[in-house]
Order: sequence, then C-alpha cells, then structure tokens
Amino acid sequence: MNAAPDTIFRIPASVVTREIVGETLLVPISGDLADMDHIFALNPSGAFIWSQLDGEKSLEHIRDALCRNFTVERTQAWQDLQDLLAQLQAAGLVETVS
Amino acid sequence: MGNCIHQVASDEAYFDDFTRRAAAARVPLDGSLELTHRCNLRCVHCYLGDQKAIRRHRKDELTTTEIKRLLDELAAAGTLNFTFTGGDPMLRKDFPELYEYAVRKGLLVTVFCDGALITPKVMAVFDRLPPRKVEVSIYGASEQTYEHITQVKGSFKRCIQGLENLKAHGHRFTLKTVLMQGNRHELPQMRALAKHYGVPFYFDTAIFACLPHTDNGSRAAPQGDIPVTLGNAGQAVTQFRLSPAEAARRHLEDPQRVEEMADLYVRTRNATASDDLYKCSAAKSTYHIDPYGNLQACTISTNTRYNIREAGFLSGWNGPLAQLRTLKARPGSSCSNCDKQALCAGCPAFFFAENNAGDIKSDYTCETTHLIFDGLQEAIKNRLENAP
Repeated sequence: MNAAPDTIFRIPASVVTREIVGETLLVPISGDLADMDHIFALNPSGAFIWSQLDGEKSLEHIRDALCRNFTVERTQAWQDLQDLLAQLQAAGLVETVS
Repeated sequence: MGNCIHQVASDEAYFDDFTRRAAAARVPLDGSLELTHRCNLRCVHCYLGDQKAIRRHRKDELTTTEIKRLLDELAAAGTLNFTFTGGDPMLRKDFPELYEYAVRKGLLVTVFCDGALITPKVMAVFDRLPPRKVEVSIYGASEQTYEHITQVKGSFKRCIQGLENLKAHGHRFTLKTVLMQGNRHELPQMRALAKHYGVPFYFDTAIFACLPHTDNGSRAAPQGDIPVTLGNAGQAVTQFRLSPAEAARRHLEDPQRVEEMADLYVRTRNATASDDLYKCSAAKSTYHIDPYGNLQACTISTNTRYNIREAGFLSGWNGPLAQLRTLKARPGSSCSNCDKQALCAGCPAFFFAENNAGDIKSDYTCETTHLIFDGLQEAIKNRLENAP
C-alpha cells in the first residue's frame, strides 16, 4: 500500500549510514538485521532520498526535491519513492514519524 | 532511476568490485586493532612473546579516549570491516565500551578471542549490538591437549563455557586453530567440535618466532626485556611446526578446500609477474594497529611500523604505509615469478619474521606450497579440461 504524500519517515538509530568509495551503505547495527547477511547499498537517487528522511520532510517534499535534483518526471519520481520506501519499511530500515 | 536499494551482503560480485575500487583508491577498507598484547593464556607457540614482559607495558597501551578518537578517524577514512584482537581484547575492562563505540560508528566488527572472557557484561553488549562474527581460537578438543598448548589449568573448560554462551545467545562464531605438533592428533575432534556447534572451522599451520614489538624489547635488542623462552626462540619454531609434508597433507584432506585451492590456482596462475614486494592487500586496503598505536601493514609486519598516537592514522597511512607499497623485491627474488603465490602462506612479513628480509623466501612455506600444488594436480587438470 502506498504511503500518503504527507507521511514523514526517519532513519532509526539502529541503522548507520556509511559513505565509502562513492557508495552509500546502510549498516543495521541492532535487531534481526545486524549480521553479515544484511548490508544494503543505495544508488545515487536512493542515497538522495535516504538523506532526506530526516523526520521532518514529507514524502511530497522529498518527491519535489528529487525532481529538482534528478532528471525524472513527477509521476516516475513518486513511484520510485514509493517503491524504495516500501523496501525500506519491509526491511525495517525506516520508522514512520507521522 | 531503477531499483534504488540493493541487498549487497551476499553479493560476491558487488563486494569484489567494491574491494577492487577501494584498493585502487587506497581506501583503508579493512583494519584490525590489538587492544592489548596481554593474554589469559600462555600458549607455547605464541608470537607475542613473554607475558611478564608484556604486562610491564600495560601503562603504554592506548587509552579509552585515544581508541575512540582513532575509531572516529578510521571510520571517516573509509574502514568498513574491523577486527578487535589481542592478546585477548576482552582483558581490557573497557572492551564493552570500545566495542559498542565501534559498532555505532557503522564498522562491521569481528572479535578474535579465546572465548574464556566472554563475561555477562560482554554478552550484554553483544546481545544489544551483535558482532558480525566472533572468531574463537581453540588449541585442542580435549582438556589435556588444549592445556598442553595454553599452559593454563582450567582454560579448556572456560573456553567451552564461552562457546556454549555464544551458542545459547545465538551469536555467529567461527572456530579456528593453529595446527601444530602438540594438537595435530585432535584435528578430527576439533572439526567435530565445530560441527557440534554448527559453526565453520579452519586451521592454519603457520607458526613463526616471537615478533619484534616495542613491549618485548624488539626481541633482538641487547637491552630487550624479553627472555627468550620456549616458543620465542627462532630455533624453537621447528619443534612446533608440522613438517611440510604433513602440513600439505592436512590442507589436502578436505575435498572442499582442494577444490577452492585448485580454483584459486587456475584463476591466478597467469597473473602478471611482478617485482613488487607486497602483492597482497596490506597497506593498500588493509592495515593493523598494535596496542601502543603503532600502525603496521598487517599483524605480523612489525618491521615497518609508524606510531600514529600523536599525528593520527592518516599520517601513517599516507606516509610510511604508502611508501611500503612502492618497495621492490631484489632482482632474482625467487617469489617474483612464482605462479603458486596464491597457494602460499609466505609473504614479505612472514619472510621478515623468518629470515629478517622480506624478499628471502621461507623454505618451509615454499616446500609446503609445492607439495600442496603436487596434490592439486588432478583437480587443476579437471578444471583446465572443463574450462570454457
């Protein structure tokens, strides 16, 4: 199910973001994901979205920022944003603020 | 924009490429830190040397504050895989605090230990922030053999208790041993012990003389404060090592290992010959730091070290360690054109420990490697015949 445009997410303290050799890596440090089998890499647009999940910006705001920073249509940006958030939520890598 | 997220932990191709790029950019991706050289065991073959001498240098060890500052710097420099080792790192009272600090920096932390010091306090931090891996050294599968090597009464029982605790709390661990004269007869039982816990097991046959460290008077220094004891003297090494024939046989008796080694040989045999002294990842994407803040290319590479206590990690990484990568073997060095290097345990650090020169091969590792190679002939032939 798609998240509403005014939904706000944040990165939990149990996930550490690492930037190494141009890669953005998500390292879960506690909970079920904190083992060698769970490290995630984000592509540039994924890394941008990740950097926006500050517990204050809504998805709508992030979509608009995505369109300003990448060559992507609003509809496609919204779909990509929803897809990524769904994966992040399924993996327990984000928390919903409101 | 495609799929924005990728689960990479088990993606070998991704990590191969990632590691290659890190090495090309000389990013210090993998590091290890000996929190202390102090140990609760007194293993006969230990390359650290005499524990009485080491304990006199406890006050010289990096402080908690210094280590935290170092961890900040290492994470900022790009370290991802990080190992706390020793001695036994858990002998330091601040181990849980330092461990937690490293994990919270996003380092993938592995801990090398002997299992005996996994206290409730250590387990509590492991439960909250699980280690990526704990590698426990075992020295035998029976009390008699284990304590014949460790020279500490009760150490076997404490080790087993540690393993039981790790298992009960669901932590990922590996068992490993240094296979030598005193415990070779228990290799099957050590494998069975690992099987009992459902964990991987591996062994190494490399034993070297006591390495020159600042806490053992650099070993050979006239003013050195380390007595040459059993296991420390160069000549004593041979009394612990397996013969090359047995070492090779032990490596060859595991069918999976044979396939892995054959594959490794076939993949690397045509690698361009090089007179570079260091051909591994040491000082290129990996490093080691001793308990006193000395930065080295690897654990045993104590011949070139640089103290980073004052000037910081990058001063050593971009200075002396970068220089190390430019060193060349002398013309005619026997290893420069060898196509079996990937199968060989020998390396400049090993050779320095053995022969006081990084480009003079170890006869022991060379003979062992050739015997392993002979034993791989059929597997290599099969691979070459079936190659696309």
